Amino acid sequence: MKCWRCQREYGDRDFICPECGALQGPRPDLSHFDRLEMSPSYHIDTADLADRHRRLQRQFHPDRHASRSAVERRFSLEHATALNDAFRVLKDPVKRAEYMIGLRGLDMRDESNQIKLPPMFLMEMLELREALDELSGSDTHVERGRIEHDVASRYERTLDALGAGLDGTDASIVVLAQYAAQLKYLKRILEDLHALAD
Amino acid sequence: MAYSDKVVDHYENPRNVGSLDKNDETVGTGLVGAPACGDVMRLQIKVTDDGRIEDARFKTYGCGSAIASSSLVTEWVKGRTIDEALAIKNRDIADHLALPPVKIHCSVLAEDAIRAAISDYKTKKGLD
Repeated sequence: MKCWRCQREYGDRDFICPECGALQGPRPDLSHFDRLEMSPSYHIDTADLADRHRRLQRQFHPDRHASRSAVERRFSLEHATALNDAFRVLKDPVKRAEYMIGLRGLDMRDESNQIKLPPMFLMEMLELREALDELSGSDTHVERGRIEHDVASRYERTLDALGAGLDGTDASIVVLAQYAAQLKYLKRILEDLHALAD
Repeated sequence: MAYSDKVVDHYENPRNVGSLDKNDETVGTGLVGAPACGDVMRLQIKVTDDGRIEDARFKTYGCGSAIASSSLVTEWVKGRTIDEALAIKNRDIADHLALPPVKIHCSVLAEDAIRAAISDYKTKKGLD
């Protein structure tokens, strides 16, 4: 990388030019894991993640760079924003999983992607939905609780399988994407169940 | 996002909601999903001996555009032959409902659902 001010080369990990002391902008090519100085893995220590975020964030606090030039003050803000984005994604198990699938080249948010779910799964989701529709009246909270328990435990199992797949070497990107898509369906049902309870 | 009047109409008064007996020899069932948003759509057709769709039903759990797309498709396929139904393209659905670009995938889902239902019917009848 080249310093924007003195044009000298600086190291990959530097954000302050060792020659002229200028603050550099955040590198656009870093992954969220790189930015928080972690190795890319699904199974992360979330306390450690929060510590790293806090420590790195301190380095870019506006007060520390108040006397710098306008360009550098903008860079410090961009660093802070990039760190916050990385933290927000990595601390959430589902966002982290989808992000890791994205690093392997498949965008889960792209509706035109060709992820096909097993017909059996779709049928189960439709049947669950129909069962929820039929929940009404006074003694349905037991049934609702049973469905919620089943869906929640299935959600946890799917997330575990996805995490294991992401950190292992056996699961194909298609299988990982299917797990992630199934999580979306299960999460929607859980959200609707919570809305029903309110 | 503003839905078109036609989408609102189908959403508020969906046509042909419900189910047909999936074990009936003359009924084809298509079940499709949109993994990016967690939608699921079931479309069923009942076909006469001479290959005409006499009835259609749908059940969709998803956004207004997905519900409207499947509702519209059940109206369109009724009375058509299987081949005529296969000619329905997602573009026709999207144009008719004035779907915005971000909702085009809902019309794709409806087209996939017709194809899946017809394919299921053909498999049952040994036509494939």
